[in-house]
Amino acid sequence: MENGETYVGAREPEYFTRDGKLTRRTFIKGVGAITVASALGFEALGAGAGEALADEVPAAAGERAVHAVCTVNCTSRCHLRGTVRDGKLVRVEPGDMPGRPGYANACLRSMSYIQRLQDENARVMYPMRRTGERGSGEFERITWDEAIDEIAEKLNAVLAKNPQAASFYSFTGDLGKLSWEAPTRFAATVGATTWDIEGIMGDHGASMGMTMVFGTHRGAHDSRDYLNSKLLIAWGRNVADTHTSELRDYVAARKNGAKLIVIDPRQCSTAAIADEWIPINPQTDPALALGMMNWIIGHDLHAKDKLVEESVAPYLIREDDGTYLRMVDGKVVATAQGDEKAEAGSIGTAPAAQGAAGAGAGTYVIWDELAGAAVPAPDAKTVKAGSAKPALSGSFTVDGVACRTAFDHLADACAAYTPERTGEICGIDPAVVERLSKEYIEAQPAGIRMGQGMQRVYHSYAPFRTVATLAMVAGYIGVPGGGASHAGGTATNKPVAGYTGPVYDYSDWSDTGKKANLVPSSQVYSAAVDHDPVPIDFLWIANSNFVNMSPDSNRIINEVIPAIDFIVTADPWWTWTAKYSDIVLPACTYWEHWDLVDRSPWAMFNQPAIEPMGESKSDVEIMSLLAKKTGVEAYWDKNDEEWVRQFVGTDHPAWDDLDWERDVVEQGIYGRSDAIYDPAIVYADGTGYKTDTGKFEFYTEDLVEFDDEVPTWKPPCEDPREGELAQKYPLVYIQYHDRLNVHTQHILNPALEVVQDEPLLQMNPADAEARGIAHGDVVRVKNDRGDMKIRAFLTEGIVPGTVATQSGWTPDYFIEGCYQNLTHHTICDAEEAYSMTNSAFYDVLVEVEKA
Amino acid sequence: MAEQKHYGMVIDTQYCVGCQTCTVSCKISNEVPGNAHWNHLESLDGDVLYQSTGKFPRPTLAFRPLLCNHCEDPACVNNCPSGAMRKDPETGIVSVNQDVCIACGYCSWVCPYGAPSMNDVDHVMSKCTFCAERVAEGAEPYCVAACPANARVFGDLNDPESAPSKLMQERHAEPYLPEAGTRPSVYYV
Repeated sequence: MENGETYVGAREPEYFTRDGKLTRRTFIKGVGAITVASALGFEALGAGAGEALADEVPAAAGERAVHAVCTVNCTSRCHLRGTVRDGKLVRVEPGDMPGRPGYANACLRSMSYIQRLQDENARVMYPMRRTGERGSGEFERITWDEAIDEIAEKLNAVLAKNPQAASFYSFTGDLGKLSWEAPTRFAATVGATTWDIEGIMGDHGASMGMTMVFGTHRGAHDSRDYLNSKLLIAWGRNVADTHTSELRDYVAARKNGAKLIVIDPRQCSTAAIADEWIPINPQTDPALALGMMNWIIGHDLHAKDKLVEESVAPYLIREDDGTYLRMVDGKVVATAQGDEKAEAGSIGTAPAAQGAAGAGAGTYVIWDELAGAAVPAPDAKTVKAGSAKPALSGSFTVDGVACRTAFDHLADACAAYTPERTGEICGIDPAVVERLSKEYIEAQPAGIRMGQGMQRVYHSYAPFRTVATLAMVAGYIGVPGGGASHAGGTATNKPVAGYTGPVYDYSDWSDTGKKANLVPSSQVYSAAVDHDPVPIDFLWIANSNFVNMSPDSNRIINEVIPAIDFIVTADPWWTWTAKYSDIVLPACTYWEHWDLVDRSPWAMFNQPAIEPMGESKSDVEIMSLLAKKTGVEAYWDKNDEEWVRQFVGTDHPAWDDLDWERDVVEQGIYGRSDAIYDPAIVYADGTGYKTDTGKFEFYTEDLVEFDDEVPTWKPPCEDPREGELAQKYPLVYIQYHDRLNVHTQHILNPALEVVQDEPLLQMNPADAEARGIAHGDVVRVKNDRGDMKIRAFLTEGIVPGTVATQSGWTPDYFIEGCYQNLTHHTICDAEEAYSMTNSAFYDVLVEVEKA
Repeated sequence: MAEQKHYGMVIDTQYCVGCQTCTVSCKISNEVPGNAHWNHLESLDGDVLYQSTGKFPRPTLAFRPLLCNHCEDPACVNNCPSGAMRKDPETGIVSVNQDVCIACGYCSWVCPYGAPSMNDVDHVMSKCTFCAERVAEGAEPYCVAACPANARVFGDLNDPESAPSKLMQERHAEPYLPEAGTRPSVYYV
């Protein structure tokens, strides 16, 4: 890029700044011609704005209110109100949320994002063709026609040989329906390969754990429901930074008298407002949940009624092969037949394999104490009514087959987790384990909000599965003020009597002629290198800084990328990934094009608030251009606005009150006519479980072969407790999502520099002292895969034996190296068998030394 | 009765998570130029921001957000050699007249809270205005509206029914550094 000068030093003088922290960067590592300026980009703010006082701000007459929905993947989806003056976004504020006052939110990232997205040094402005080595950052500007012709030529050659050798990798950088799905929809139109996103990015453990027990990968209490809680546990969830829109409800709950406990290896932001922070060794959350269950069951305080009504606790398990006992017409039959998993989800959104709700429910068996016989497992209602009395515990012989209840298996699995052993594994005082167990069961009710922080581990399904099972053992699932929740609060809509049509019209969007070949993203490295399960001869990357946010970046750079013949990246930003691409295409941000986020009970809209920067285009525009050259233009006959208009153009009663001008154009958000705005919870009345059994399913037949059929704790694959590796690299390294970054989109919005202007290694003073490291020292963090040079930040707010950096920093900001070359991509057989491996980003050992 | 206001704020540090959405929203929305900041954040009980105090496993992590205290006896006004600093008798809001300011920086030196912040682009002093224009229209200051923990409460301290007045009655709220004698209008719980 021609405009590649650096602005280091341009901010003098710096006198009288009393912001608590001098933040001017003193070094910017050379990162190639294209991004040096983007690292700063501070001149974007206030260019021409000039006036210092709010009462001197030009009258609102010269300004225009605009709206957007923030589509980065933090799990909030905030409605933003922006202000445009002279064609530029000048500010962002929380936008109204119809029907839910008090929920309006805009975080510091979304507010400062407008600086970066209007900085032409940070943005990809034009189609660019690589001229130097991959990674060199040397590119030349080309026209859109040239870019599309060149890409089409490469793509058509691959499609002619093997369509599945062309890959379209669209992740979560922009979750607007059009942006997110356009690349994978394109893959479908040409029969190419797409990637099931969650595995490699490290969110899939949560989905697997949820799916095992609930039958569906998401499910949360509306955060307003915590006003009903006496105790609220944020478990591995730093809600203050990572789901900011819900924080006000946590604060309200605490003001309402709920005790707030945070379980986390770090004293995170949320812990700052908690009644108690319980520090826990990373990777050990299942052990704590097992210890709590053991204490609760040992004190006979478990929710026996709920367990027999709503869970598989009374279900009989065969002693011979560990499967559920099944009976058909009163006769025991051999193991599972035909319990097919429902097919994974639609384009771009493929979740964990979901159970078919209640499939084969009638074949499972309980021991009915009323009848003194094995009978088909009744539903919750029947048990509640007293028509059957399932035995929670016991050994029985049915038709000659010896069985035990699933609950007994669970109780056995918990038994080893005495407070002492639990405390030893988790690094928690056994007395605290006991007190926590007691407080949890006595709270009546207690809610748990789980977070992905605990599941970026090997055997990553265990944390969510085990903690949710704890909530069921305590009787808190489906109870107001209770639950074991994952992701955003449930929003719902009233069923409309007699109306069966869809709310949104996605029929044209879903009509792709051909079908994409959906592959687990855990296999993307082996696909590139070993052509297993598919070769990658052409790779289109969109909405993803793949290199920066995937494990073992050295492996990606040295093995994966060289094995791929041609790489296109469509992105708003000059990412690390873009620099390793052959063609880079400028993509729009969410402030620059039409899009839709269906976040019931609202429909939220993006529309061009400003002109697209440079020659950037929306993903739909880009794919439509490519479609013309690849023979699939028939499927790409609408622009963004036309697609959005079609999506909401049904006669469903949801749209009864929709006024396009008022709600879409002027407000940017529409509260559906069929919406329920009151707080909602999941699994109320013991219903709604989508598992094969139709119950809360803590006994997982699929995992019998991995000796993991009930919740267990297994040591990490890089275990700090013992072994050669632990001797060499004794510290656990974790990366956490913080206030500055969702992924890499916000790095480093100029206004955020005051908060923190470089990545820091958090370290307990005890670990630092043992290594002669002082606060602020430059240290080298290393293992066999790579290293990084970074400044140490000593704090008592992290468990000894663990060090941590903030996720999302790009290599430009490290003194040397990058955090992601410490991580690893290790396939977990149990996870591959169940669904796909989840990257164990927090299962990493390192050593730290003074640099 | 004259409609004389005494705008003030109560900040509940018990609910401050240290995110600095206040700092950033003020910076962006008020278009504060250069390196100037009208809000900043400190550790409540330590020297280093974001460093927990006390000893593991029971350390403390707490914050004190700072902004202009719009004092009743403001040191900045009292020491301003040019007369640029003034306190509005109608609202209690302390502001700087940038047309008069000579950028000597005394206000920043004498302010116990370090609130006036030099606009190093135009070389003139700048400071928090309590978002006077917004407030005049009945809106909350940007930092208050933006706080995701609702830790900031703004209103008229002359009105015993205002949100900050009521919060001060319910909870023990104190100004920071009262010994400086400037009689701040910002209180902390």
